Amino acid sequence: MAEPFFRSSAPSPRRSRQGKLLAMMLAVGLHLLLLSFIAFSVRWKVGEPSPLLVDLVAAPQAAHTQLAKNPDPTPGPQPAPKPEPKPEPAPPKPEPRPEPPKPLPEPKPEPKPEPPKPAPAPPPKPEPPKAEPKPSALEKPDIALKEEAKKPEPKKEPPKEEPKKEPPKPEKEPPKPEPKKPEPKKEPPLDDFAKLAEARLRQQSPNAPAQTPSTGGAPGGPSEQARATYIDQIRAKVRGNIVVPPGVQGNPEAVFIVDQLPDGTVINVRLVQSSGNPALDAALERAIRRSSPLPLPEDKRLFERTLTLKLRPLAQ
Amino acid sequence: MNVTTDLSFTHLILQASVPVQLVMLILVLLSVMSWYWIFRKIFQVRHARRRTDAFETSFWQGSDLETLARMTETRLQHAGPMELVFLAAWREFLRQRSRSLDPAAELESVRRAMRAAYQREMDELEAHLSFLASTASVAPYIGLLGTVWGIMNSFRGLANMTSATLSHVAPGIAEALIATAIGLFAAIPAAVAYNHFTHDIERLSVRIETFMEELTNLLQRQLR
Repeated sequence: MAEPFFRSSAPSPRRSRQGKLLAMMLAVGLHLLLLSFIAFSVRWKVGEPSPLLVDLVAAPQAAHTQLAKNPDPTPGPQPAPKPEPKPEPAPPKPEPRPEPPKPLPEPKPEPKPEPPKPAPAPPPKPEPPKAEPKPSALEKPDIALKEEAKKPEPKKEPPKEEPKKEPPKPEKEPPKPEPKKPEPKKEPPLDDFAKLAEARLRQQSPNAPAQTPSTGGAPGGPSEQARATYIDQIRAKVRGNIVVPPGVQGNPEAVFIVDQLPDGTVINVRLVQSSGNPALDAALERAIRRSSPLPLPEDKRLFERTLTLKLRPLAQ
Repeated sequence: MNVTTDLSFTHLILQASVPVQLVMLILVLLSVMSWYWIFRKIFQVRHARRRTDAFETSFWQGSDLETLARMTETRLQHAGPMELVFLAAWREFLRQRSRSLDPAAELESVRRAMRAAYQREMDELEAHLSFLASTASVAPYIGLLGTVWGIMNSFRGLANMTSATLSHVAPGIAEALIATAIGLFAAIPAAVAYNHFTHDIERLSVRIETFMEELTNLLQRQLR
């Protein structure tokens, strides 16, 4: 009774055995296919290594080519030009000026007997004279420089033009002092000339007192080379810490203002002029901060609390 | 060196630390297994549905129950769940009729036999679906474990460096994230397949249950 019942009721035929092998093969095949697809077709490679390698190897060449293209952008010589241009414009100032005073005194011989007056005059007008000669001095050198830039050879022409331009200036200038002080009608030109002479004297003989306030930390000409080497030292140290980000084309320059403590510790870095690549700017700023105790100058007078630093990622 | 690292898939996997590689291996095995069962279930459910369709049409075409049962017995290896339920009911019905007991008890034993066959077939169809379900729910966690471990490692390595840049951490994080990717790769098909199969098997079971009710009525009519 029981036996046939159990036998007949347990007919569990398990089919689809052949499906096992097929399923296994399909599963493994699918994974292999996907793996090979990912391994060979999807390449997550950092594409930057090659440009970086090229930079490292060909750095001197790049520098040479840049030098050939435009000799200016070299960072080494560049700091020097910065202090230099200030003294350079000064010579042109005295050159045109000595000439104009000569022609002018001739038409007006009267002011000469009156020089005692300019002496008392300057004390009451300490501010306007300084303001007046400076704009004039600024305008004149600009004109002179422009003319010189246009025609560097004919130096005699600018003097001719300048006397022409100068007469109108005294004419224009008198009206200015007139509202202020109507009494010295003849004195203003005198004062101007006196001031010009004084300015010339100041620029010629006592260079240091005149320039130190204007240029700040650049004391005199002799230390200029020392200053250049100092800046070069800083630049060299900073350059050692630069991690050039990928995708930087060429060797762009960025200008930073760096605040430092007397021991060279960097307090603050400000970007003044971008290199055109924000990532490079950030990298340069990081490099400056990382080289925090900046090298100190041999001459302590060269030390500046706020440095203006022009930086390029690559050495020249 | 760090910048020039190869970030291809194979390289990242080979560069990963041992625990992360272990996690990846587990996940790959899980994925292979889950796909194996996905394929098995695809074949099984498709076969069951086809056989059920064929049997239903032939059954409702009015063919004789005896010939139907004989046909089913001849190809028992390829029979669908509905055929097997029918065969179990038919065998029990014949056995009870030969003993000629009272019809109510006879019908009750036939129903029990059908119910048993139905349960067996459903169990067969639903087997290993739980594996897909647990793969779908657990694989992302395993991958996450590998990722967390890998990121921990890469940050620990970062702490030893004086100058930390993204290029030092990035490869470690990338290789760690691959573990999560593999985990998700194993989990997503498993989840989809699990839902698909449960739905398909549910529909099959409803069809078989209605068939069982109808067969009971048919046999009851024959008993009178």
